[in-house]
Amino acid sequence: MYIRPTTLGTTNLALNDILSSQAKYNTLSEQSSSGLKVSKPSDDPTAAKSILDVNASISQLNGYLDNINVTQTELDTQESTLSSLSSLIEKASGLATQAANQTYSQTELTAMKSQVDLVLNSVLDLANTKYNGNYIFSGTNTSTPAYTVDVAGNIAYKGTASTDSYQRYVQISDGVFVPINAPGDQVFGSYDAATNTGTGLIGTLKALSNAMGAGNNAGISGSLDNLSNDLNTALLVRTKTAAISSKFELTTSSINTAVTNLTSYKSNLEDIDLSAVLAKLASAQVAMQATMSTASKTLSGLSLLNYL
Amino acid sequence: MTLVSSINIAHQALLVSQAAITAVSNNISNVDTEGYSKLDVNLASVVNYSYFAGSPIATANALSGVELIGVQRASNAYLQNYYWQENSTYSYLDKYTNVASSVENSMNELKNDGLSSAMTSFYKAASDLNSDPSDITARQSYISAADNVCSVFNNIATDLTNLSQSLVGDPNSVNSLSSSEISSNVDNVNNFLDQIAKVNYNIIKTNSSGNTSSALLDQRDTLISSLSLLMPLTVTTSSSGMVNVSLGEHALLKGSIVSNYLEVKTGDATTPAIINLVGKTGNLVASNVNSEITAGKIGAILDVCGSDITKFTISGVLDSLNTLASEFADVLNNIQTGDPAGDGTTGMCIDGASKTLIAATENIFVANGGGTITAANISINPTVTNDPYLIAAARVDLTTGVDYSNAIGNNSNMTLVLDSSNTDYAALNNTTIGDYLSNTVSKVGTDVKNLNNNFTSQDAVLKEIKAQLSSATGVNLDEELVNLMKYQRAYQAAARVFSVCSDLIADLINLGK
Repeated sequence: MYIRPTTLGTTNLALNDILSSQAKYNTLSEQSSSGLKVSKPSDDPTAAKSILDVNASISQLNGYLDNINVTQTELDTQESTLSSLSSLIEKASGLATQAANQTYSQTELTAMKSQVDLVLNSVLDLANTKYNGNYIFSGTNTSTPAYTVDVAGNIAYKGTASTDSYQRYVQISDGVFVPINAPGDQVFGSYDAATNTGTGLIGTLKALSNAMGAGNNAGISGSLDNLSNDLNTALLVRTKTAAISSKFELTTSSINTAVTNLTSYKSNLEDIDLSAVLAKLASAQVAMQATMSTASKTLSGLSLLNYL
Repeated sequence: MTLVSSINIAHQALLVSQAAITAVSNNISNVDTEGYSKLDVNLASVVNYSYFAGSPIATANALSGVELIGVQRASNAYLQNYYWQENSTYSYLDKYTNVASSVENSMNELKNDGLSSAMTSFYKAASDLNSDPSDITARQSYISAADNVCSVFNNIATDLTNLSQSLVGDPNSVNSLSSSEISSNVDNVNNFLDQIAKVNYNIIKTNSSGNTSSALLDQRDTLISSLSLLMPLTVTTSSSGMVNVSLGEHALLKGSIVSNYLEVKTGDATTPAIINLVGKTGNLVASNVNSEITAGKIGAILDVCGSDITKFTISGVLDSLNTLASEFADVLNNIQTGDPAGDGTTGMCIDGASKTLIAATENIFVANGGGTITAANISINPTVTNDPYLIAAARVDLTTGVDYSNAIGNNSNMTLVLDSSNTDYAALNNTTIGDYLSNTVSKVGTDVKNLNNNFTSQDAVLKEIKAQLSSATGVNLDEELVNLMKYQRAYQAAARVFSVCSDLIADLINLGK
């Protein structure tokens, strides 16, 4: 269709052309300076949704990594404590084996008893290990020392009993909560002074000490078996701790992979291909110059007035 | 044939050329006037009549020169009407896209201060608190992260509400309407109607006095164009040369009389502004013609502030945010003080003085000012802000009779909080909190993108019509210069004829001496 050109129409057309080529240039130059092709949701609604989802995932994964890092130190503390505990148990076993020889006088046995008592005190110190201000063997009663010795000589567990919900959980991936603390009462046991009975390691050490004090050979020999059981209990808990640590290591490496993948996915979604954008920018600049030069020729040069 | 008649013909030609040059100079001087329609000079050879028996008969071979039939204003009624119609749609999409972009900017989701990043920080703080539930610093960060979520909700809601109120006023405060955009636009419509009526009257007056009223016609077309930016119009021209303007079935303007004015009244939350038609004395003629105002700026404002779920509306976005805010608050409050799993357990907070566990009774989120929780009023319970120990990080079964008062390291409740970010909720269309938010953002983005696309194509349509209209009625300077020369030469030639005839007559007179 023939359109009769009009002077105002031509001027407006030239103006529109200049404006639209400038707008195109501006969009590209904004993209190249920000490095983003999606700066608001309407630029690409689908990508915007994915970017938000990926952002949330990445931040969640980094949160899991933080959790693991913080918890790992507590697990390390727990493991070294249990390792010291094993040495103490072995030391007590050595004393018990020595005493069971029946060649020692009561004076010597009394000296051994005081060594066993020292071992017991060390065990209690270990049981009250703190990490980051929290007693790690007290279950969820984290501000309560796991063991206290009262005036009567009772050694009672003050933490959450392993029969109750004693566990503290840490989240290491979606919906996966790992219990990180060991059951203190199972590892260490307790002692009741009134009935002179005890359970676990503390019970055994107390019985050993009492047997040594009384020169009770049968009691000393009996303690040997119990000590080996207690050592097994400590080793079992230590193994569990190590298992959690290795689970953390695996999870850490899989989270790192996931974060890397998600980051590169996000970059694909929102980052510009700089070389492509710069090439487009250059061609948009050429187009803009061409439009302007055409416009200036049309508006000033192409008029009959120049030839009259 | 006489020499004198030749002189008369030349005289006529001089006058006609002058008139033509006047028209051309008018065209040239208005070359940059928007809305100016060029004047066309219509010339014809004079038909000579000879009178026999009282009735005039045209005689073909009688030569009587040129005459000016008229100076006509170039126009194309069809294109002009089409232009007004598309202009309304253009202005509708322009306004709609503008408002929608403002909404998108208010949400600001892809920047680092949006709602999704506030939510992410909140869950990060929850995770930290989960790692060390008795730590007061972790509790404080958790509360400030939750407070930040509230502030972002509040800010977006305030922005959107302000936007809506600047357009249609606040339905709850009648006085706010008069300062709103729709009110000033309705005033503009009524002003334009008055002006068009006045121009109509002037056109009739000048027509009857025999003058051309092309400047008035231009003025009227420009006024109608301005009016078409505000609302959809049906324009018809009456035989007398006046235009009638109507909105659908309702006549607004008949000739020089405005039959109905627009009036805007405050409505309710779903229809914040209602447009009525009123007569000259303010008597109600038709109530609520909102559904007929489908285009123009007013149409866009009515639609974007309305509650049609098939369209992008401010209230639609606000509703989604309200749903999200209220569900988010309910979920976390239920974890705090309720029993979300239904297993008889209780959320436990810490008594700050004795550092022992007690059952949590204070909610985290409350509605500022009471009522149901919305995006606008969600806030942190001030009691909890003052005592971060009141956050329930622990969850135990109190029915077992076990003494849990020292179990401040229990973090079972925080695991529920963390789990809530991966849980689908029925109130959120069976999606998670994060998904519901990103879906909302993506929907706003899609709507804005569609509106942008529609606007761009409508812009192209309007430019095309404008080009056609300008092609039919606009001034081309080169054309006018050619015409100028043409009429100049015609004038020179006629003057020549005049002088030749004058010489001849002088010769004749000399002959007679």
